[in-house]
Formats: sequence, structure tokens, C-alpha cells
Amino acid sequence: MPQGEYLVYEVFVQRQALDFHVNVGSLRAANAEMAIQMARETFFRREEVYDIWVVPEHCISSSPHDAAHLPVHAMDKKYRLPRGYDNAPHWKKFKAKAMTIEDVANEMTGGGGEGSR
Amino acid sequence: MNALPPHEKTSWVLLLQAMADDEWIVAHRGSEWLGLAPDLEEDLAYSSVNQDEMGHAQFYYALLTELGEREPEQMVFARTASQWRNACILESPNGDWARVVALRYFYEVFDDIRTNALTRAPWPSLQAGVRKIRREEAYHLEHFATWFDMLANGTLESRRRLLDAILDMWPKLGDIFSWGEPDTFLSTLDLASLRQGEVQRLWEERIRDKLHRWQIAWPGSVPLPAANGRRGEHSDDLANLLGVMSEVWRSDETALW
Repeated sequence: MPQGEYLVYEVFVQRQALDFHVNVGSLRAANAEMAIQMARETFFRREEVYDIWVVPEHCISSSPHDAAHLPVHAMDKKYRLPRGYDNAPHWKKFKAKAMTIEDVANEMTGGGGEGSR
Repeated sequence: MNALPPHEKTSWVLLLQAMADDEWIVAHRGSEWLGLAPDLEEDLAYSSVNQDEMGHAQFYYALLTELGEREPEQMVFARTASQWRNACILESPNGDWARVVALRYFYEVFDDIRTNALTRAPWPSLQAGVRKIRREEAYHLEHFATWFDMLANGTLESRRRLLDAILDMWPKLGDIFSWGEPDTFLSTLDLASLRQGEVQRLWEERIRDKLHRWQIAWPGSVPLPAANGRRGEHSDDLANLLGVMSEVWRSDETALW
């Protein structure tokens, strides 16, 4: 780095306490403290955020951009995905059989033999 | 506001006009840096800071209107230099960035002491507004403290420029602590902590610590000023500033914006 050149900092924001930090851009600053102050003004002048990270760009390791290094899904791997049984149509059928239109109306008006409120 | 007795009104005007004018003038000089700050990020940050200060001035001017003073627009554009109550150092031309950093750090510490006292002001709308203002001011103070540290501890040149700026402005800072009137008016407002001597003592304590931390020799207690901006005694710099600032407004004073 040439002398006097500012570092590039990548800026990450956590908008709410349960969110992950998300990269929003980068800026130049003389040190981390100043980078946080600048991030506040550059990216968040009009919104409230929960937390801000700044990371010197040179601290980030990046994967090579070729097929051998980036994850790809060449084969069909749907069979590995966890899925439940689709019971919705069965429930629909069951309910259609078990309830008459009178039962539905009864339920909506709060009457019927379900005990008193 | 009509509930305030007349003698109190005069005192509030005295207090608020000094604060409004300080904030407005400091912001106007700040706005002259637009596009010229040391880097793009600072250009954004510094314009934001100055817009905040204009907002604070607007808040104080609105209270002054409630007290029977002119509308904010008139206060800003229609007054002559001798009707302004800002401290003289704030109207002086910008100089280099080190001078801005030193002056704004000194001013923000001063404003912190002043607004802190007003969080206990016996006037609910002022108190509530000042509490909001201080949330922004905390950031301004932090920003210029960081800059001050960077220049004091940076290169030989940054340190030399900072020291030059401090020594140059030191004898011209005195009227910032003054109210232009004997301090007795403050006791009618229940704000005795804003007495000139008291504010100056707190300010010098904090600045002395900061200078000490960077091994900058203490230039001695700030002397009494030759001219007191709080009494409307200003340099030609203010007249020039007002001329530029109100040029468009004066081209048609009745225009609606």
C-alpha cells in the first residue's frame, strides 16, 4: 500500500438483532474507527440499524471463481432434501365429509354443542 | 409561551439567540466545504453534520419566534451583522482542514457543556428538543475528536498544521463563553451552571486533558476577547458571510419559496 493511501473497508450491517450482517458496500477510511463513522453517514443516514461491522478488504479471503472451487449441483439431489408428507388434500377430504354446511354455519355463529363460553 | 413572565422572556431570548446564531454560522461556514472536504466520505459526513446544525438552529429560531422575535427566515436573512450574537471565531474564514478540525472540536465540546445544562431547563419544549439535539451532537463530537486524534498523532505535517491552528485561534476564542450580559440573568432561568466562568472552567478542563494526551503544550487560560460577538461586535468576515448567504434572498425579499 502506498504511504498515505487509505484502506478500503467493506461495510456490513445488521439491521435487527436477529438478522445476519449483510454487506452493503465499501468505503475508504484512515482507520476502523473512522470507517464506522463514515459508514453511518454513507449508508445509514436515513435508517436506524442495530450494528455495523467494517472489515479491511485485505482481511477477506475469496474463493477462486471456477467450477472446481464453487459449489455446484450437477446431479439431481432432491432425494436428499428433507420433506414431509403432503397431508393437506387428505385433511380437506376428511373435513368435507365430516362437516355439513349446517355444521359450518353453526360453528361460525358460535352455537352448537362445544360447551358454553 | 405567553405564560412566561416578561423578564424571563428577555433572558430566554438572550440565551437562545446566542445558541441559534452560533449553530447557524458554524453550519454556514461548514457548508462552504461542500465538494472540498479531504475525501468523498468526509464530504458526505461533514455536510450531514452541518445540515444537523442548521436543523438545531432552526429549532432555536422557532422558539425565539414563540418568544416574540421575528420569523426564522427574517432572523437569518434580514439581520445586519451587528444584530448577530454568534461568537466571533465561528464567522472567521475556514482556513485549512486542520483549522476546521481544531475549531469544530473546541466548539463541539463547548456546545456539549451548554446543551447538557439545558437538559434541565425549566421550559419543557426546550428541554425535549435539546435532548433530541444531543443525540446528534454526540456523534459530531465523536467525529471531530477522532479527527483531532488522527491529525495530532498523524504525520509531522498534520501535527504542525493542527498546532498552528490551535495557537492562531486560541486568543480569539474568549467570547464564546460570554453571554454579552452579566451572568445574573441566568439565575432567573434557573440555569446558573451556564455562567461564563463555569462553562469556561469545564471546557478548559476537557481541552487540557485532550492536549495533554497528545503532548501539546497548554496555551494558558483563554484570554478575554477584544471584540465580543455576543454584544454584536463582529469583524468584516461576518458582513461578508451575510452578503453571500442572503444574496439570493435579497434579490426578491417577498418571494415565496
